[in-house]
This record gives sequence, C-alpha cells and structure tokens, in this order.
Amino acid sequence: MIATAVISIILPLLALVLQCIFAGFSLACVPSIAAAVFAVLAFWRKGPVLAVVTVILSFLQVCMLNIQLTAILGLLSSAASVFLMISVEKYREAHPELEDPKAATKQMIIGFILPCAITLLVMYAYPVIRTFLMSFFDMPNITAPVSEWTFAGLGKYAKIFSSQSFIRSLQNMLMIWFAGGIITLALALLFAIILTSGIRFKKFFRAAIYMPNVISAVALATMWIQYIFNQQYGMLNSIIRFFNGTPINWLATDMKFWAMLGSFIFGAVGYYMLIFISGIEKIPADLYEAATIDGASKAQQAFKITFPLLKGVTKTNLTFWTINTATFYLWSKMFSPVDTEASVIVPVMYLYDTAFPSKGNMRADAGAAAAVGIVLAVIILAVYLVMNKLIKDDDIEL
Amino acid sequence: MAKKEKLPTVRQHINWKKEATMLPGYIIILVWIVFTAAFLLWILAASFSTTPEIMQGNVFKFESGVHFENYAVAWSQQNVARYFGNSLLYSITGCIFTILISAPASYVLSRYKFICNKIIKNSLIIAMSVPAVMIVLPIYAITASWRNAPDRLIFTVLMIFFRVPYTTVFLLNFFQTLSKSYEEAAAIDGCSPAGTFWRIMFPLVQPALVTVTIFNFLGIWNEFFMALIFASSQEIAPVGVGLLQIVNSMKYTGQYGALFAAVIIVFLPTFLLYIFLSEKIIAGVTGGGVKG
Repeated sequence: MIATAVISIILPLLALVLQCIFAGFSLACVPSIAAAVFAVLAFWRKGPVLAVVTVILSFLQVCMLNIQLTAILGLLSSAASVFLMISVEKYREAHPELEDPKAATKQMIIGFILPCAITLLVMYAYPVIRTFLMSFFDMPNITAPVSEWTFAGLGKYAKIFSSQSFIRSLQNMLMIWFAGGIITLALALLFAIILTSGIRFKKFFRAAIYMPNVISAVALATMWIQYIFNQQYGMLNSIIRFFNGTPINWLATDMKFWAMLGSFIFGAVGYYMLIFISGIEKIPADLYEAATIDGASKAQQAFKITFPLLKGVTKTNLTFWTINTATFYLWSKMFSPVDTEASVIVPVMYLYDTAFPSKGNMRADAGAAAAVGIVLAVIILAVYLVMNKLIKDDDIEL
Repeated sequence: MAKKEKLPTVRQHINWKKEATMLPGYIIILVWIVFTAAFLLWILAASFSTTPEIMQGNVFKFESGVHFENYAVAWSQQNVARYFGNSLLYSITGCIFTILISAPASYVLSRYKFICNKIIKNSLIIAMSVPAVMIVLPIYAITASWRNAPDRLIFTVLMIFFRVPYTTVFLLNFFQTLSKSYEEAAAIDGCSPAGTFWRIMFPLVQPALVTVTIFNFLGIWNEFFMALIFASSQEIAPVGVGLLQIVNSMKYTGQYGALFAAVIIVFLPTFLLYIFLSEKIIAGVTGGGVKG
C-alpha cells in the first residue's frame, strides 16, 4: 500500500518536472499536479473515491503532456494509480473500523461532483473568459500563448463592424429571426391548436411533424438541395412544369436565402409545436367547457383563452428561437458548401471564416472571431432580458 | 406508430358531424405530412436508381432494376463505412461517459447540501445556454497542445464535456423525486453512500437515464459545428461532416444514386431509433426542455 502510494505520487511529479524543463509550464501540467495531490489524499484518507479520481486524472495527464518521455511516465503513473486504487480497497476491507459514515458521505460528494466541476471549469468557465479577453487583443494565431498577445482595445469590434460581410451576416440573421420566426411560430401554433382540438391519429401526426428534428440535419439539407430545389428533376420544378409554368432556379443567388430559410423552417416547426402543445394541454379543460356553454366559437376560444394563457410558452419559444438563429450555421454551410456566399452568410459562418480561413491569402484573426462570439452572446442575453421584461409569467403555472 | 392508434375492441361510433368541423385541420396536417412522406420516398427510390434515371426524374419505375450496388459504392468507395463507424464510436462512448460523469453529480446536487451546491447548479444551467461559438476558439487552443492524444479521443472528450450540463440538469428532477427511505434502509444494512448510489439509486432512475441517453446519442450523432472544427479530416470525420465531403465531391464523381444511398445510410439510424422511441423522445422534449 505505501509502496504503490509513493510510486503514484512520485511518477506524476516526475512527469511534471520533466515537462516543465523541456516544454515549460503550461495548462498541460495541471492534471499531473492534481493527480499527485489526489494520490496523497487517497493514501491519507484511505478513500476509494479519491483513488478513482486519481486514476481519472492520471489518464488525463497522458492526453495532455506533450513530450513522449513524459507521456510514458504518465502511462506508468496511470498504472500505479490503478494499483493504488486496488490496494486502498483491500486496506479498507481489512480494516472495517475505518468505516465512518460521515466521512464516507463527504468523500462521495467530493468524488461525485469533481468530474462535473472540472468539466464546467475546463469546457465553459475558462473558454468563456478567454474568448472575452481574446476579443480585446491582437494575436498571431489562435493557439498563440497570452505572452504573444498585444492589446487592441475595441479595435477588433471596430474591425468587424466595418466589415461588409459581417454587416451582411447580421442582416441575414435578423431576416431569419424576424421572417423565419413569424412563419415558424405561426405554423407551430397552428399545428398545435389543430392537434389538440381532438383530431384523430394525433400521436402519429405529432410524431411525423417532429421527425425532421431527430434526423441528421446534414442529411435533411442534402435532401432539400439535391432533390426538392433541383432545377432539372426537383420536386418544386416538377410541380411547376405540371402546371405548365417556367421552372425556377431555386439555388440562384437571389433565391438561395429564401430556399434556405424555407427548408430550415420545415425542420424547425416540430420542436416549437411540441412546446406549444405542452402549453395548451396544461390549460384546464373546464375553461373551454364553460366557454362552450356560454356559446363561444372555436375561434373565439382560441383568441380569448388559448393565446393569453400561452404567454409563458411563447416566451420559452422566442428564447429558443433567438438562440437558434444566433447560432445558425449548418444550413448556411450546406447551401454554400465550398466558398461562403454573401446571400446566405450568417455571423457564425463569418466567425468560422475569420478564425479558420480556408483561402491561403487570408490571415486568421482570432481576436476578431472572438469579438463576433461576444457580439452574439450579447445579442442573446439582450433578447432574453427584454423578453423577460415584456412578457411577465402568468399567475397560472404553465 | 400507427399500431397504437387502433381503436379499442368496442368500436366507437365515428361522429361524422364532429369530424367535419375539423376538416380544415385534417387537410392542413395531411398536406404537410404527405409532402414529408413524398420526398422521403423519392429519396429512398432514388437511392436504388441509376444516375440517368434520376436525371430524367423517373425514379419510381425501376426500369433497369433495383440497384442495391449504390449502397455498396457509398459504403466502401465513398467512405461512408468509416464515417459511420466514427459516429458510432463517438456516440456510444460519449453517451456512456456522459452518464458516468453526470448521474453521480446530479445525485449529490439534488440530495445533499454542501457549500458550492447552488453555484454549481446555476453554472450548469448557464453552461447549457452558452453557445458553442463562445467556447470553440480557446478549446481549439487547448487541444492543439495535446499532441500525444489521438484526434478521435479529443473529439470524444469534447462531446462528453459538451453533453454534461444538459444531462446533469435533466436528471436533477428525477433524483429529487426518489424517497429518502432507500438511503436510510441501505445505511442500516451497512451499505456505503457511494455503494447506495450505484446499487440502488442509479438503477431507480433508469427510465430517465434512457431518455437522456437517447438525446445525447442524437445530439452527438448529429453534431456538425464542433465536428467541422475538431474532426474534419477524412479519417476521423463523423457522418455529418462526411456527408458534406461527399456532396462536395459530387461534382467530380457524379454518382447521384450513391449520394442518395449515403443520405439514407446517415438518415436511417436516428430515424429507426425515432420510430421505436418517438413517444419517449417527445415526452422528453416537453418534460426536460421547458423546465431547463
């Protein structure tokens, strides 16, 4: 037990020292430090959960250490920590007096919450802060360390707002948000009202309308582009030919945006419909019964009962729609797969092209890309706050 | 799906008058669904046809027979097999590890009081709505330094981390509803707290685990933006990015039959999942999504 503990404490530290000597101190060193600390804790408290965390951390250091020698050390330390885990378990079985219920609970809490907390820090807190900082700096490339950054003030924001393609992308986004939003939410509400009016095969219809949300959007977009909008054999032009009209090139520059929006709406309606349905189904049925007795028509019931009581879910839907349009990317990419076209450009696409330029003559500007991200986050936040102010939640919990 | 709609053995009398008032509703819904079905069937038929047949627009006649070889071409020549395998690997390992991280965290967050409880819960809810564009640039910088890690591992880890906030928040409500007496009984019988979780509480929330795993599977299978940045090379691309590459190379290969076969292959797994589990998925959307 002592031997395995010593080895699983020394090995990550050794890897850490070598890493610092040959590659300098960086974020890659963090798992090694943590693995050593947890090996100490696991030995000291004889905690099985702590030992499990040690194992996870020492596997993580293998991924992050970037010199072959240290990576081999990391592998050895992973093996040692597995042995440590086994020996701690054996030690506890041999010493049942160690079972202290309180301490075991504490250890469990730490062990259970730690991986989740690490995820939050590594995947969310640190990147969000770094993106925010990046938007005020000029840097040679995305991977450049902080020491190579030069302060640019609001220069990156000035740069993106003076870029024609960014302004165009914002206009497109606004158009998707406004026109697409009205059509999508109107259709979703219409379907929701029809499906909750006592129609037959409700479950089948509901499932069929929601279906596009489940399948790969890339496959769905390919179906639309390669079949429905195809000029030669496409569905829309076949219908036009059937009525002796002139076929339209749906994917021409001036039609492309609307073609994209139409196909996107087709896929999106189902989701918002489900949320409207769940809102409608929570409205007490006796309200409608009373209204029917008083002689109110279906249309009157919709305007006087359903709509006012759907404020809460409408707010939810609007918030989701805003996030959905601000992060809109896939459909634009599918409709201009090789070179970004102005007709369908959206902010995320502009961000991608700025951060990872595909053409050789363009320089990657990570600061400007980060600024785009910040602008989008601010837009989402602003819309969310305005919505919360404008649409107050009802007294009835929906 | 339609099976469940069968009327009970005592046939209800159809009230034609009532049905007639709903006729406009039926028509609107049917137009939408017929459109969906028509184009899905066309794509399916096209995937069994030759390129000239597709170009002439008569895919339903199968004049030259049914061309299963389109699937073989898509599967092996156009690399769909590899994309498919990659996606399966990402989705399955992603789902398992997401649950292993999220379920214990969700359990202690919902049933124990400790210092950071509130902070972590709120951070998880905020993290759920942080758009991917806010985090990809720094993560790209971090992963660029993981030179020893295979690329597939990096993308898998990212997918796991990406699903953790949603999964943890989704499970909170379910752990909350469990009775305290399970833990008390287990403690009396001498079971450790961690053992109580894995042996008793974890199996008890199994239905919720299944629902959230379906969503994680769909989410990872359909992931596109992150995949384009972190897994875009032919070797490690998942189906979404792979399909985009096939579409882009269509200009040179011109095999439309194989393209539609590839579309069907990508479309099928989640579609089949949906046919069997649509009720559960729909219940999960409205149950988990709104409360958020």
